[in-house]
Amino acid sequence: MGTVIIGAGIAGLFTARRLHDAGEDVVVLEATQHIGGRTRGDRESLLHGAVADLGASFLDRGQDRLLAFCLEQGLALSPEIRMFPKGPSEKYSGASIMLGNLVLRGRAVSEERRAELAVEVQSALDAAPPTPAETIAAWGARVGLSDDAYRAYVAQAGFNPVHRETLTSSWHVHPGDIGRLCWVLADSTDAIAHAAARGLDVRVDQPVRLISRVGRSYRVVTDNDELVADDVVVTSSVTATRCIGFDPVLPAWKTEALLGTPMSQGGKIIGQYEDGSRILDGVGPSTMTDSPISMFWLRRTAHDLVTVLGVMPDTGDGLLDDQSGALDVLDRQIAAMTGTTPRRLAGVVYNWTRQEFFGGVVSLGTGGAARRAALAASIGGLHFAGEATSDHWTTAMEGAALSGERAADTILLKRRARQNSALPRPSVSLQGS
Amino acid sequence: MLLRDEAPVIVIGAGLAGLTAARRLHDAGTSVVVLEAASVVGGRTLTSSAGWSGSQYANFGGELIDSSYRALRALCDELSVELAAPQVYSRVAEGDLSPMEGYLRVARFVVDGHLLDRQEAARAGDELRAAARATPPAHHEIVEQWIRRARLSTITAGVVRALARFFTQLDPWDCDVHFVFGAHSGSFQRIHGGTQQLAFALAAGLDVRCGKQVVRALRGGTVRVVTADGEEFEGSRLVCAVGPFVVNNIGFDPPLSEAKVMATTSMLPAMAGKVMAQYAEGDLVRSAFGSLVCTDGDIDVAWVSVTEQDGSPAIVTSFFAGAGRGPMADPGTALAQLDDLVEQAVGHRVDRLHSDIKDWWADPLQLGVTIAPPENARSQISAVVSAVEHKTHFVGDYTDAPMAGTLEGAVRSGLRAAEEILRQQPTYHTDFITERLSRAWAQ
Repeated sequence: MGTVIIGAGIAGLFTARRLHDAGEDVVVLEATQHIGGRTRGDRESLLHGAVADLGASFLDRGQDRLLAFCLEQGLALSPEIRMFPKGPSEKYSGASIMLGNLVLRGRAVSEERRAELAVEVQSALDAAPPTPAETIAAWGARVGLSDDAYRAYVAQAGFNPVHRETLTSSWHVHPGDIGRLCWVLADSTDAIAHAAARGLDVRVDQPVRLISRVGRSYRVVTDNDELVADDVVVTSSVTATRCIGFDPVLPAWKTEALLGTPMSQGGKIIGQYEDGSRILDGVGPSTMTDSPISMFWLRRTAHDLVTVLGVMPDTGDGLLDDQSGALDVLDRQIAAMTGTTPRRLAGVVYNWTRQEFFGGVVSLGTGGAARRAALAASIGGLHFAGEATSDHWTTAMEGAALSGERAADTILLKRRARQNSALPRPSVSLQGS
Repeated sequence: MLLRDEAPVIVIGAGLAGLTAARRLHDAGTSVVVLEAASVVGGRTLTSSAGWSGSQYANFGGELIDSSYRALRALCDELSVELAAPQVYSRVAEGDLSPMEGYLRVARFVVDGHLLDRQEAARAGDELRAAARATPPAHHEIVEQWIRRARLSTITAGVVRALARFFTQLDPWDCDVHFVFGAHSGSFQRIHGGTQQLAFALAAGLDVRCGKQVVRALRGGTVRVVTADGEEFEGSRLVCAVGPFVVNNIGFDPPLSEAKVMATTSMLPAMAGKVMAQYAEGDLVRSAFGSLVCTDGDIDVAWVSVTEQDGSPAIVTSFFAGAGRGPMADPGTALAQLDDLVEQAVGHRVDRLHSDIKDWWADPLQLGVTIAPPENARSQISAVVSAVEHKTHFVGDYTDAPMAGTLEGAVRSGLRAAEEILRQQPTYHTDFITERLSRAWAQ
């Protein structure tokens, strides 16, 4: 048979669609019960039919592959969010985010003060730009940011890539490519995955444990099934891929790339509140804080309710495993912006780090282009996709989609080459001169 | 003066690595200032000594010392730091194909909640030997990937996972097989009174300033560091002796080389800590824990470190690591898990007298316990992270290729950096050059 794809996240499904559309036999094996990977809509935890995006939550301008897909599939994007304006000096940079709503030490920061902080950070970025890998904590300390500017600048790490600032390189936040103009999917983010999965053979609850080469094919063993394929595309997260056995064993350069690519540690928090319009007025469309909830953004739903979606890096404080404690923190951040304690109806906290088949939020991109290329490279009929392997929009859904199509193209190219080689070769005879 | 006055060497971090470097430099007549962010010296070798009955103590951090720790043993000798009697955790037999078989003969294992008896442990050992023969692990293979490729049974897979976590404090998908197949000594000693005793002995007589967290480090003709409380220190050279994950907290100017930042941010931190509890029925606990108890649950290993006090209570130290680190944030949950494990080992409930927790992953001055670099990349990683740049020398357990992640690695790196600095040619004063060289030539 054709191709087995491991993982029904965006990368796996975009691989599968491309191959399916080209007439290939494709089976997608998904370890969990859910389609969508690190995009997942929780339709139980909130009231009145509101959906909680447990994972990836929005599309950014420039994520054109997925924007095209939404257009083609009729997936509505709403609301539109500008988390911060252009500036200072009419440009986007790691300082721009300070111009959006900001809570420091539990208090809302005024617009004038935010402008000052942004100018301070921008001047430092201009005078002594960070090196790409330099951590944002090291850069902030090197240029000697004031306490408030430092707190605000490093809080970005908790938003992107949802990790501790000490372990986050500057390329994640400066010049920064997310949050300028983005859209939340009107239904949950996993609407993309559900649309992409239509017509495909996707089998859930099939954690892959071992991939063995048998002659020119591969045998893929799950907890309760075995499949044989000409090609296998591994699209699981870096950490989940480290848990799959390969026979023969993966080459050293691949293992080195897998072990050298940690994933960010953290999760998502979602609260549902009454008095949606009042909260939107005070907090909307997004707010960054120096609390354990680094950034949150809002989506209005029926009955004047609002869903607040935030990201939380794991700092070892246990808050990701303490739902009520974490939601209290969220309440307080909202209260800081609105002046009154919000009335919460429901909420949920989701710790991606603790999920067996994920092990984290996104790849940290350590090692740059060389390691990313090693993660992406095929080994015979074994191919690799996923946000970590993408040369563009790494860590994002867009990167996952692009990487999936890249893997599919690799396989299709191989098929064409094989077809061509099956044609009778033109006979050439060399005449002695 | 014929030689230019040299400002002191500034050592950032008073863990074993920093203190060893400082001590060597001091002994060689070089002036040294050690700046430590915490309120006490020791780094990741802290000893917990308050609140325990019978003047007992336990190690918050590194404690196991095997016979290959030669530099550390020599240092202990030199400073009259005493080592306790060895404890045997493994018994090797002829024909063993992995050190894990030796551990299966001595240590106890809880897999999937079930305490293996000796027969079950022996069967797991047999299975491991057969698997090692039928499916030899590749040099660089990830432990979890080998477990899957070798198609180990559930129990034996649990044993391998438990041992991998004991050796590395990493999950079995985050470390390679050399940790479970490479050579191991199964016999360990500890420093009498706690590992921190060595740090205290090293620090005696040195200029160590605690509570001085270095925020910026400027590296020009001289070096200048600024601490969080605004104090400035000028020096001739810098020794960066902080842990591998907080290196990137310091605002080095010029910034650290891209290669060094990438190497350190690529390393997986052991996201771990220790939970310890003292139980009244000490002799019972000591005999039940005769050696180690390794598990594939949230606790990866538990042991009694001070075994020579018959008739006294016993402190059980346990590690929570990686995916199982969560309970540490809630002491009640973590201690309940430890109580359960002790009850399982002893056979009945025992009385908990006192407890203490140190979550190194949550500590902003550490952000992790240790590192365990993959074997095939180890030399390259340590070459990059230990390379001298801009008058800055890098030490710490993580910078030593063969002994990365160990107390010995910390000591060796300190000795290495002291040599690097002592090897520097002193700077001649211009007058000296004029008088002794250029003028002499002109005459």
